[in-house]
Amino acid sequence: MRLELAPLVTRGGSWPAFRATAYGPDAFGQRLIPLARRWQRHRTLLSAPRVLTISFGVALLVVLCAATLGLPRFVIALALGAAMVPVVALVARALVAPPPLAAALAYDRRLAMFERLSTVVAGSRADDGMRELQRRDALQALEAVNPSLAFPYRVPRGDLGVVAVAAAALALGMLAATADVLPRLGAPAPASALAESLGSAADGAAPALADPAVLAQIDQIRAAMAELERQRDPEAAPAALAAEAAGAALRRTAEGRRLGRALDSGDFQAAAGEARELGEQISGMNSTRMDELADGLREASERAQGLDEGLANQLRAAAEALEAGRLADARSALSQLAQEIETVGTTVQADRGLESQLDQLARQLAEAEALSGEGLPGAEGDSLGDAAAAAAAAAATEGSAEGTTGSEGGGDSVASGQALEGTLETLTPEQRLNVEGQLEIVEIKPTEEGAEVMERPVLELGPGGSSGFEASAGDRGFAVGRPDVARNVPLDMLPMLDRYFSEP
Amino acid sequence: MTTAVNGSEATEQLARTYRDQAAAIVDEVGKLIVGQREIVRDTVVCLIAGGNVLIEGVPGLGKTELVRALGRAIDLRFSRIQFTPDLMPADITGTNVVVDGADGHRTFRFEPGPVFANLVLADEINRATPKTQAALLEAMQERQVSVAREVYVLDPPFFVMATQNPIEMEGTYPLPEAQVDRFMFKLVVDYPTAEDLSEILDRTTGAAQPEVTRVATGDDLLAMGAFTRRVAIAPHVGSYVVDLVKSTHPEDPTAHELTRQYVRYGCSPRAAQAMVLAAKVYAMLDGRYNVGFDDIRAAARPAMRHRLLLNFEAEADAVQAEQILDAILMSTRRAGD
Repeated sequence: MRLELAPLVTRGGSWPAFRATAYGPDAFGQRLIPLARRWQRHRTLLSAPRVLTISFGVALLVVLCAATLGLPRFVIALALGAAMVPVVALVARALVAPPPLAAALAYDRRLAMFERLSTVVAGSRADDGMRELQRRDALQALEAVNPSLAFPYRVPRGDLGVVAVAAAALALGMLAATADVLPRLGAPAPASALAESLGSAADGAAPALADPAVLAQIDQIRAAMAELERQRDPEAAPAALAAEAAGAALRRTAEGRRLGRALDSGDFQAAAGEARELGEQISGMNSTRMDELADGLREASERAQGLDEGLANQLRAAAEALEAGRLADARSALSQLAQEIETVGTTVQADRGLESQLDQLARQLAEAEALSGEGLPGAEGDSLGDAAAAAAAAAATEGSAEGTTGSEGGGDSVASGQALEGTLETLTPEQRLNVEGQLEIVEIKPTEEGAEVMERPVLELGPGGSSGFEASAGDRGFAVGRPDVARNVPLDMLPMLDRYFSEP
Repeated sequence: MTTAVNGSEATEQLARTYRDQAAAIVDEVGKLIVGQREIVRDTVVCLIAGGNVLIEGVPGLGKTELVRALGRAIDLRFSRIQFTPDLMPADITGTNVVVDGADGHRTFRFEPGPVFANLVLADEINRATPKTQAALLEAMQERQVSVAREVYVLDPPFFVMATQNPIEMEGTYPLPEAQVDRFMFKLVVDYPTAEDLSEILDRTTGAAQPEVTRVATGDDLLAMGAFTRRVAIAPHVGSYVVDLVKSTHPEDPTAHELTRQYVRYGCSPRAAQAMVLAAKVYAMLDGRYNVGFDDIRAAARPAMRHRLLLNFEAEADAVQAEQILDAILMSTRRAGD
C-alpha cells in the first residue's frame, strides 16, 4: 500500500491525516477512508492495553534488573526507551490508514454486509454491468454506515485497570531505582534482613547510607565474631580429623566397616553405637575376623595419633586386647572407645556450630560493609579484612593438621605414601589423595610394564561410593577428593546476641 | 460510463424480475408443502443453478409432493419414474421399437423414455439396482442419452430430482459415488414440527385443495440461471470455497483433524462448483450482486454432505458427515478473521 503524507494538520482539526492512495479516487474509496481510519484507531485502542501492559512490564523488569546489576543510569534510561518502542509503534499505527481490503472486511464482518465492501475493493471477474451494480449497492450500504456505532472508541474497564496497575508498578520501580533502595547483585540478603537479625533496627526499615545504626551493627558483629573465636575449642578440628582418619582405616575391615563409615561421615552418635555393638559381637567372631579387626583398630590408632591422643589410646587399647585374645578387656575397651567417640562428637559438634555462626556473621559483616561502603571510605577494607580473617581462621582450623598424617599406599599400587608438610595446595599434578580420601599424598608412578587399565567413574571412587576399593595401578589418573561434610547449622542470632551482648 | 450505468440499470431490473419470479415459485410450492421452507428454497436454488437434487427422508414427508408441486409451479414437461428393483435402464432412457413402414418395410424407431422431460422425478431412486441407477448418469451430467450408438440430446432445461429413503432401510441400494457426485445438492427432509403437522392436516383433509399456479417457464429458469452466473464473487470468497473443499481431503496438509480420522475420500471439484453456483443464487434471491461468506456457508452442507465418503472408523464411531462438515465450517478461517 502506498501512503502519501498529507498536511500534518487537517482543516477540520488537529488530528494528523494520511491520504492512502490505495483507496482510489472514486466516491466509494473516498467514503471508505474515514471509516478505515476509524477502524484502525478502534482496534489500536483495543490492543493498546495489552501492548501498554507488556511494555510497562518489560520496562519495569529492565529497570529492576539494571538497578540490581548496578548499571549506570543512562543505561536504565536507554533500556526504558527501548521498552517504550511498542508504545510509539502503537501511536504510529493509529495514525496510518490500514489496507483497504482489511478495513472493508472489518466492516463487512461487523455489520453483516455480506462482503459487499470487500468485493468492491478486491474486485471480481463479473461483467461491467454487474460490477457497477455491485459497486453502487456497496456504496449505498457504505453511506448508511455509522462508524461511531460500528467501531466505538471504548476500552474495557478491566483492561484500563490492568494498564493503570502496570503503570503504577513501573512508576514505583523507577522511583525505587532512582532512590537506590534496591538490592545490588552479590548481596542476596536485603539490608532489612540484617537489621532484623541483629535485632537493633526495631522499625524494620532498611538503613540508609552511612546510617549510624549500620555502623553500630558492624561493630556488634565484629565483637560477636571475636567472642565466638575465643570460645572455639582448638582441639576440636584435630579431633574431627582424627575421627575421619580412624574411620578411613576402619572402613577397610569387614567388621569395622560400619564403625569406620560412621566416623568418616562425622556421625559420632552412630559411631559410638557401632563401637558398643562391636563389643557385643566379638565373642562370636572367629580368630581371623578378630585379627582383621585388631589390625584395623591398630591402623586407626596410628592415624589418630598426634591428632587426638585420647581416641588413639582407646583404639590402641582395643586392638591390643583383641590381639591378646582378652575378650572381656576388648569388650571393655570398645565400650570406653564408644564413650571417647561421644566425647569427641560433642566437642566437634559444638565447634562446628561456632564455625557456622562465624561464617554467617562474616557474610553479614560483608553485607553491612557493602551498604556503608560508599559513605565510609576505609571501612570496607577493615571489614573485609575482618571477614577474611574470620574465613581464614575457619580454614586454618580445618587445615591445621594437613600433612601430619600419612601412610603407605596399600594394595597393588606401586605408588608409595609420603607425608608432606604444608597444605593441599602443594599437590603437584603427579600427586593425589589416596582413594579413601585420606590426607595421604600418593606419588603417581605408573609401572613400566604397564598395568591393567580399569576405567571407573570418579563418583564410584569417592568415600560416598561403594566400599571395598583398594588402591591399585588401575586407579591411576583419577583424583579423589576428601568428602566435604555439610556443616550448615541453622542459626538464630538473636539468642546468641542476647546471651553475650545484652546488659546484665 | 453512461453505457455502464445503463447496463447496470438494466441488470438491476432483470435481477428484480428474477428475484420476484423465484419468490413466486417458492410461494406457490409453499401452498402444497407446509414448513420445510429451507428445503423448498434449496430445491428452487438448484433449479435456477441448473443442478440436480437428491432429497432424502423417510417415507411420507412430502418429498414427491414437493417435486410435483415444482412441476406444476413451473411450466415444464414433467415425468415421474418410480424406481423399483425390477426397473431396467431401457425403462428410463427409452428403446428402439420395430415399426411397420408405409412401404411395408419394418424399421426401428426410438421410443423416448421418461427421461425425456424437463423435470424428471426419480422417486425412491435407491430402490433400483445400480445398473438401472446408472442409466441416469449420462443424462444428469451430459444432458444427453445414448441408445444403440445413437445420441439423443435432452431439451433444456433438464433437472433430475431424486428422492431416496435413508440408505439403512431394507431393500435399498446405495447410490454409487459417481452418481451421487452428480447431484448438486443433497437435501435431508426432517419430520415436520407440531405446528406444521397441524397445518398439513388442515390443508390435506379438508374439502378444498390448494391450487398451484404456474408462475414461471423453463425459459425463465434458464434465463435466471444465466443471470446468476454473472453475480460477482471476490477472490477471497472464492479462496474460502477452496479452503473448505481442501479441508475435506484427508491427504491434504490443511485437512481438518476429523477429516484425517474419518474421511476416506473428500469432496470433488463439483462440490466447489455447486457451492459457488448456489451461493450466487442465494445472493441474487437476497437482492445482492456479490457472494458473501454466509452464502457459501449456507450452500456448504447440502453441497458437500453427500460427497464425503467416510471410512470404517467413522461408521464404528457413528460419526456422520454433518458432524465433520460442522467442524470444518467452524475451523476454516475466512479472510478478515
